[in-house]
Amino acid sequence: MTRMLAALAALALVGCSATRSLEPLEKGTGAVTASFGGPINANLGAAIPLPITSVGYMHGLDGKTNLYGAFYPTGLIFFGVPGIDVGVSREVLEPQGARPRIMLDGVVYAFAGNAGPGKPPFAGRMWFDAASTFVWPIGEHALFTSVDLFLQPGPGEFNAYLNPHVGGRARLGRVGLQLEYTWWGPWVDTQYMQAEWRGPGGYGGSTVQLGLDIQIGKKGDR
Amino acid sequence: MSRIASLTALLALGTGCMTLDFMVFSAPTADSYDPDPEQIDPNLLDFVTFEASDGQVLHGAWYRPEGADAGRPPIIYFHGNSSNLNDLWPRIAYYGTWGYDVFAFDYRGFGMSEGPATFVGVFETDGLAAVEYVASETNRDPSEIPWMALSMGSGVAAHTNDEIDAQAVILQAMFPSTNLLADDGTGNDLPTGWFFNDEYDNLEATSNMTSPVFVMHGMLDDYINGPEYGPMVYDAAPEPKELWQPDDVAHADLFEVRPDEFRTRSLEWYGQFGSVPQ
Repeated sequence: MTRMLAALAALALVGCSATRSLEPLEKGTGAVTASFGGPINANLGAAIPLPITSVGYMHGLDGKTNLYGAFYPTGLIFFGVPGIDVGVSREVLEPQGARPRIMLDGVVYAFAGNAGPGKPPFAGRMWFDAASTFVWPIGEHALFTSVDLFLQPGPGEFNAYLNPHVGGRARLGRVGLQLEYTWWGPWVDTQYMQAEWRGPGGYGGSTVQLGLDIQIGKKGDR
Repeated sequence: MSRIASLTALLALGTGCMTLDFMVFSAPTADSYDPDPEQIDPNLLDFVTFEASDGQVLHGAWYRPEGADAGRPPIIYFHGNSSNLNDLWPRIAYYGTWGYDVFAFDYRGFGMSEGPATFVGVFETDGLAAVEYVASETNRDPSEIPWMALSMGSGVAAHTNDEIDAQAVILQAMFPSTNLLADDGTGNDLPTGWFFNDEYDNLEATSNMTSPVFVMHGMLDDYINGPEYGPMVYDAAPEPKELWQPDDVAHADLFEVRPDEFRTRSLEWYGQFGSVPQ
């Protein structure tokens, strides 16, 4: 049964995608994005990040705003449950000295799959995420911290998680490599969860993700 | 996980048609039954086979302790997941101390009972076969026979009792459904149909039970959510019913933590609906 939940968990926290914007792209430019990794789970023995994958595209709209979307193949490959996200991010404060850039994100996730025997042909879920990210540019590279509110409205239940993140991104020309740690649900008591998460102090869980972006069009962020 | 299940999963991977039903059961097999003399007197055990309605041969064991009243119906024990008869000798011996003959059995895929464990097989067929076998062997109406069930076995008992009566049923540490397990187990809202063909809806089965139900669920059960699931199952059960939530009991250790109170409460419950050992 615990293996079952570990597998479930592989699809569960799809909201934790490392595709958020760290800076606005130049108008008309874009970036191919990918994210790999997920919540650390120990149901299979060793504590390892689950292999949640997303691939997507980000587009610079006006030099301040990015539009982006991603596709989640993990659930499709395993369970026939395709998922996408679409989001928008906007720079609301430019960096200056020690003052970080502030980016605000809003993302909608949509997943659909079988509803089960004797039910309508499919069951869908829409989840929502709002994030504010504080970014300290270091040349082409960047450090960041972020907090997001992940909302899961569903039939008969409503889950909400407020999740802090920290991470960094190294840029090598057009290629950006990002590493991000998330403490999801820091106040959530996981005692009764069969999925064995690994959160600090036994609360919530830890997510580790690698992000990749390859810029298309003009080189440079702004 | 059997080789067949592994192969099935491998083939399903990449086609997007995999379900997790095959992972619900953790069914240890056995080449033989080997009771430990330090746990139970092997001379008081009789190993038997009986047939389910679909022809599946199932293995079971009678435990007839000295001093048990031969004129009283036996108690049927529905065991939980991740175990077979070889793991149950201390429990069977314990129930024998209550003064009952005890009949325990392995569902298909468990112990020496061959065949893959499936929802329809285990939950809808094997429990019914065991009750019919015991009723036939003892020449009793099924409604005279008390049942004791633990964890997954409680789900089997609930799904069986809408088909055949019992004197009274005790459900220990039952999970309500895979849907709740998935949601509570991961902290997310996930439609069951994304992952399962069957919902293992024990809560609905409980609401259709025809015999008196005593729900026992330890408050320390964090394998599943004991504090919430116990009342949930109790609320679903029809009258007459009773709920006991011992605060120092976890998922499956009631008989070890509170052996005397467990016995007293159980016999008082069974005694409301038939004769019990004194």
